[in-house]
Amino acid sequence: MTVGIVILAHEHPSLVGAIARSLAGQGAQVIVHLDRWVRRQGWAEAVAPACLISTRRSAWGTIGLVEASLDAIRMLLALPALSHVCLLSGSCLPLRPLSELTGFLSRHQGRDFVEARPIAEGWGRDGLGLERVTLRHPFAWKRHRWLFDRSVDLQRRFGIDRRVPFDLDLRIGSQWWCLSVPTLRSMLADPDLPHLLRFFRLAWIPDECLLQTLASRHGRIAGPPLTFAHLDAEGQPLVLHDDHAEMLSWSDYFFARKLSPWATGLRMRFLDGPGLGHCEFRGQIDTATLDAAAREAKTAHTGVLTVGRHPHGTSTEWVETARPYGVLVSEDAAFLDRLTQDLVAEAAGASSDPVRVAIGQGRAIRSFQAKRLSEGPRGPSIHGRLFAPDAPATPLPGNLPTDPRLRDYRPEQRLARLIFAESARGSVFALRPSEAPHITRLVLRDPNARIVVLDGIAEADALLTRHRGHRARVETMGRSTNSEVLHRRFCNELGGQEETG
Amino acid sequence: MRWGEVRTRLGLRWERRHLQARALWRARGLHALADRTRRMPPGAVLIATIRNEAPRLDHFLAHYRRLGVVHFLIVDNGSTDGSAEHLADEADVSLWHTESSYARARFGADWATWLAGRYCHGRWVLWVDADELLIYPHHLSRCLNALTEHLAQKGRISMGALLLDLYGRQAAPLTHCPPGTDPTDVAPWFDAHNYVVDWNARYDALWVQGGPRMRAFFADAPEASPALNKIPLVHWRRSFVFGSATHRLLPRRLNRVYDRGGESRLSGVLLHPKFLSTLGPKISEELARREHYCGGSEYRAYAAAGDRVALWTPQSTQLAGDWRQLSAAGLMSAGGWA
Repeated sequence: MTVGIVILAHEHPSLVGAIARSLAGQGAQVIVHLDRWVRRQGWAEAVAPACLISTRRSAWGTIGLVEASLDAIRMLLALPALSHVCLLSGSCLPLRPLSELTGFLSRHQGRDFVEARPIAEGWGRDGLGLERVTLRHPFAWKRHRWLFDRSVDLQRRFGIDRRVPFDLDLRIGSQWWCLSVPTLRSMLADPDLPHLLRFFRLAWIPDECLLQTLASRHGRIAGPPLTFAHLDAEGQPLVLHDDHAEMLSWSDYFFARKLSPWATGLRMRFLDGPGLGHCEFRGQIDTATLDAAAREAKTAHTGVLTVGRHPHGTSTEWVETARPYGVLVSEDAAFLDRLTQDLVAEAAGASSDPVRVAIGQGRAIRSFQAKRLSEGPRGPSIHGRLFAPDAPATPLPGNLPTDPRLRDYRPEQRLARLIFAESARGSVFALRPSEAPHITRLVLRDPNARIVVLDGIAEADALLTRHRGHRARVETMGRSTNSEVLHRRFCNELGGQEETG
Repeated sequence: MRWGEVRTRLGLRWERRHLQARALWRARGLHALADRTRRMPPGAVLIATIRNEAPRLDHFLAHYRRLGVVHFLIVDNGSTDGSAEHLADEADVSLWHTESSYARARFGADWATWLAGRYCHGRWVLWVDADELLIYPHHLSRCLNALTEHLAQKGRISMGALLLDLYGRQAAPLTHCPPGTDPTDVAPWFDAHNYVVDWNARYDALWVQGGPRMRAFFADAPEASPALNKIPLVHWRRSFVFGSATHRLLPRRLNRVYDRGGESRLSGVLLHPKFLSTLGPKISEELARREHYCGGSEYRAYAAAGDRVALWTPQSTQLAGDWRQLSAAGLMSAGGWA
């Protein structure tokens, strides 16, 4: 039993050659199709003993890719004892030895591994869907994007569309498939094929649609493609680098794309590598690192401005913080200072709070205290009046300035940075509105702020009337509020790890 | 389009044309000592202006060779310490010499614009100083070619970076870096969160300030503290010019290295171990030359504060050798480059 491999290539002869030679050396029948517009010099030697053909112009997203694969398949079908044909690109990397692939395919004779979803479900992230086929796309998307978009707009506006011939059940999916020889034979013998090839000439990315449609018509689809091909949030293929080796080595895919031409480490590791030692395939791969990277771009820097991120554009009214934080508001500076000191002591687990001593006789409280002492300060980090005219020289993380001259140079960004820097624990700070009216206004407009006004209801009302349209969560507490209650409240509200006694 | 916008665009076009002509004019002062540009292999090219940087050069070249820079275009602005002789012997360096004024060449921008336009049309160009070491996400496992290919795939023509000032545990005069060694080993500390960002509407450019220089030397006038945003990597066309250093370029679409929608774009960090024992002599020299920005106001501030100022505090962070540390601190981002 033999496996046929078709490689569609257009650049990097030495890299394609290495893969073709490796596969051919392990006993596969390999045909490399080279884009007809590319100079053939050096290619035949590079890919030998694999066979090189160059019959079609096969630019990205054109029907030429489909015709080129059909040409190669016709050549392969003439060979005896062939069971399956896999389509690869010049930048696909075999992850497992060919023997494991033939072992797997020999137990799935006559079965096809191809992604063929109904087109209505959508695939990729281009937003075209059925319009890939029903609109005419004479302009190359990669080279003439503007013309492509205008032609789509015009056809949509005037309702110009084409009827899908033969009431085809259109399917869509990854270009990289593995089809069995009986399926391929009946696909090639399909009387509609010449007409379809003509029809799909004006479709967008027919290589993701035409053969998938035919395969679902003629084949027995047993599973997903054997090639790992990940698309990012913008629908562009993941490029594999040396640092993906770990992820790929745990995967049971037979091929992966798309290999960076500079990933020499990956080629050395996987070409002629030992493989997994079994012939199973479940389509397993751990994409946690890829998902984490996508998440990092989206949310990891929420709340700060960086060289790669400046969300407010032209607006100077910037309110964005990384996470909820607490604000203690009072006009009485001495009271605020005392309260924050008590809170710090509370967080350190060494409170001198009399209430605490009184109820501290129960067993639960004692064990709770002991645990806290052993683990150091927990819950949100407590700051005094950050925006006092003579700010105390208590250090802030990452050398955020406490010197008022520096602190008051874009103070709102300083605050946002502090909340970002302490986002693991959460922050609480004291604020005297008359000292920092700008910060007061900002904090009241920030939905992440959890504000506790300690002066009484009348003062809180006055504050909120001065700053209409506030979006922060504001509550009022009396002067008699003790630090333990406040500490627990902030621990709960800010998602600190403190449990309540 | 509003009239104001039309006027801005016309103004910027005029500015760009003017800077192009100026670069051509200033390039008269450049004399090739070693021109190996005919043999530049395909890949990213680095442009730098140096003056008496001999102790740093070996590590500088090694760092960028490891990243995959294929050729160095270097302007030697009158070195007297043998830097030029050293560079002229390197096979991947093309060297120009000039005795003309650094300030009148807009701090090297005119020379760099001319070199890039003359030799790097269609290439990715990296313009850095000899004391700036670029790192970017995955820089240990992915070369510059991989980075530029990714940027091209995303339709970007430039990449931004934060100039991250590094300092040692002790004051600058006591931070010795032996020639040829990695200066980030003796000066591995940085400010993780001491940065503010502003935005310039005319150039659509960011303006980052902060770091140890702001808190140690510019406490009285933080707005005068030096800019820390740079755009070191550009897919160069002949029509582009370096504006004010690499803080902003023209046309202004090159400055759009940031995301406005709330996501983070791929950006790097230029490690800047400036505060070494070599800084003291440099300060006195630059004060005499007055060839630096704003008549060397930055160096005046260093001299006034005394170079014995210790920049290190218990809140300083030590480089861990992993780019993810800088990404977690919000100093650079992989921008979804998985």
